Amino acid sequence: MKYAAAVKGQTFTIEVTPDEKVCIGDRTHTVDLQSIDAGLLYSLLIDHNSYEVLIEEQEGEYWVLLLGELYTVQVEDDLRRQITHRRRVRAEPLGRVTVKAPMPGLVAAVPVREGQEVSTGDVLVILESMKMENEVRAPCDGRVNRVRVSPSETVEKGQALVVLG
Amino acid sequence: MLKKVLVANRGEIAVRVLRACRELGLTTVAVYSDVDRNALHVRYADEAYPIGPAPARESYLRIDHIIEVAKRSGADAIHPGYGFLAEQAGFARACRNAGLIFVGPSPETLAMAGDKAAARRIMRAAGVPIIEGTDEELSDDDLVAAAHRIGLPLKIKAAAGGGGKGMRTVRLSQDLNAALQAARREAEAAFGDGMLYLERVVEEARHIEFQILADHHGHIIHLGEREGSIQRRHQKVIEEAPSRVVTPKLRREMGEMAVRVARMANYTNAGTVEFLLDRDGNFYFLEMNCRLQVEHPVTEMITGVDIVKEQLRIASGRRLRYRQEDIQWRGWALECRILAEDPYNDFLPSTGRIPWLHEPTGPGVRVESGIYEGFVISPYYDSLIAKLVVWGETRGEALLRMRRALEEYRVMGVHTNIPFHQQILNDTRFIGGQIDTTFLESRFSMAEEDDPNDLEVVAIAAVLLAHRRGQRTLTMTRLQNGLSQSNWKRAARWEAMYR
Repeated sequence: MKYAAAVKGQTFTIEVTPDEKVCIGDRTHTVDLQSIDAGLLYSLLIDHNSYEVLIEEQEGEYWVLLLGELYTVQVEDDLRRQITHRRRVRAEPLGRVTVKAPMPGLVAAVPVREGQEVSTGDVLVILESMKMENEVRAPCDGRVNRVRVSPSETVEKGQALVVLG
Repeated sequence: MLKKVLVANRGEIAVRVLRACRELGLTTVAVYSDVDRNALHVRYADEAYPIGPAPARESYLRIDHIIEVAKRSGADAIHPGYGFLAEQAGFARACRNAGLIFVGPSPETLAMAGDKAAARRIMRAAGVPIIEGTDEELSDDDLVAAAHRIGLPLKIKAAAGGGGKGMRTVRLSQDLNAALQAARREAEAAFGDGMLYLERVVEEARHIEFQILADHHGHIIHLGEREGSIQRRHQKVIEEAPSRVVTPKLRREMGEMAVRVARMANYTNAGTVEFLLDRDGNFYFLEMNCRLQVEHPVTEMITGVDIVKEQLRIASGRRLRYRQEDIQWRGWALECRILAEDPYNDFLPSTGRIPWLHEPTGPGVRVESGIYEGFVISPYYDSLIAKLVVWGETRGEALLRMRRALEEYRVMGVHTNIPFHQQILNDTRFIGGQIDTTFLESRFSMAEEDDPNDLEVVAIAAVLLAHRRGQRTLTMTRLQNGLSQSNWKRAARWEAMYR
């Protein structure tokens, strides 16, 4: 079975053989993943190199903690890759970008109006979270199509704030 | 003597104070907002009372609710921790009026120290060295004139300031007017007081602060210095004690000056006098912090003095247990503030449930934590979730120990600044002690490159799990007791029981 794993902008094509060996490019590794606590903690041996990792599945992604660093990994097998690709095209009309809340918080201000032209990096929404004001900026140039939140509203992580395009 | 203490705070500092109370045999009362019902401080205290909804201004900042709980529960003292109401003269006065002991200085001292410009005025008159600048209420025109007299670069600061709000650094004279207006607006919005003062910028300055203890019988001592030069956006990130640049002679001079500052402020209880130290060894009074500091543990580690217990003893009217000559310093201590924020994504706060947690232990390691496995970090409060403190015989040993402890730290579910700490601790300039307050902002940047081997290991781990989930070959069996526990944890618990 072939998988694509994307972590920090790098994509690894990894094949898992029926006897659970792992092939990356022309290298083949003997691997052994053991659950330690029937929870999130695993011991991983790759060619006898020992790693302790914590893995949690969250919103279709894998969060992996290795040596103090927390990584987010998107794993797709060949079949699922095709499906999600098709779905993504359908969900977002061409050129439209929904800017979502990167964390839960309180909307402190919305310095843009519908119809306004914005450039990459312009502040769209100011979110107050953990005593800090966080500026949510435009990921691309465009026109503000919809503003979906108003000041003093509480938002959840991932909630749509502004639609560009 | 006190019998029952209410802790008007949350998180790691509430737990720290509750522990001190417990060691002294005092009954404890916690207060909590709606989202903190399951927080560690509520679980730890003998009694706990709700004080309102999640936003701090409706709960932890509600003086009336807290005083009411203190009376209802029969507490005789209130410890404010740091932040929230800790330095509000109005809160200390409300405690006094309600016949409760406020564990901290008097309302009069708090009011004086809260006006940073007035504090400068008083300290200047007392012969305490201050940075060249202004300390009177001045119009924008007069401030501009004063700025030209002092010379650039300079800092504009808010008299009622704190946390970097209303603060601006001006390097070019054409920026002066705009910066003054912006600072005044920000100060008015944040503190309801737009009074500004100016300070010349001291280049390559180190932040050196002295811990003070003062009883109600006129005894004041200092516990030596802490260095907090590693700052991001005016917030300290790593602290250490002692400082690499403070000689015994300088420690004596600065310590005596800190005691003089405390005496001028009629200070009682524990407090901190902040100084800037320039590269020529000249030091200047910055301000007084009238509370227990976040970084107090580093002083505790090298002096052996339990500062929180001393606070409670002082508040109950007892004499200081130490004379200045009793205070000896041994070894080196470091503290890393563990914050729930993503160092790779502009330090954006990170919230959510912590499904898995392992805190470091072992020789010389101390963790002051406000979280536990299963706890949910909410967006309502400060992002400080724990403090990792280590002690070593030398600075070198402390550094290596901190690196080891950071590597052992496992927090799942939220991003933390642990990778940021790891990179600072690997920086040769930090290791060599060549630091000043601008180090993080002007000379340090987070390395983005990851070890390619680590990335591959991470990818393999995720793929193997996804593969097994797809093949349904991974049978997940929970433990009988339903708790996720590692064998290490189980073994440690077993050992603790049968030792």
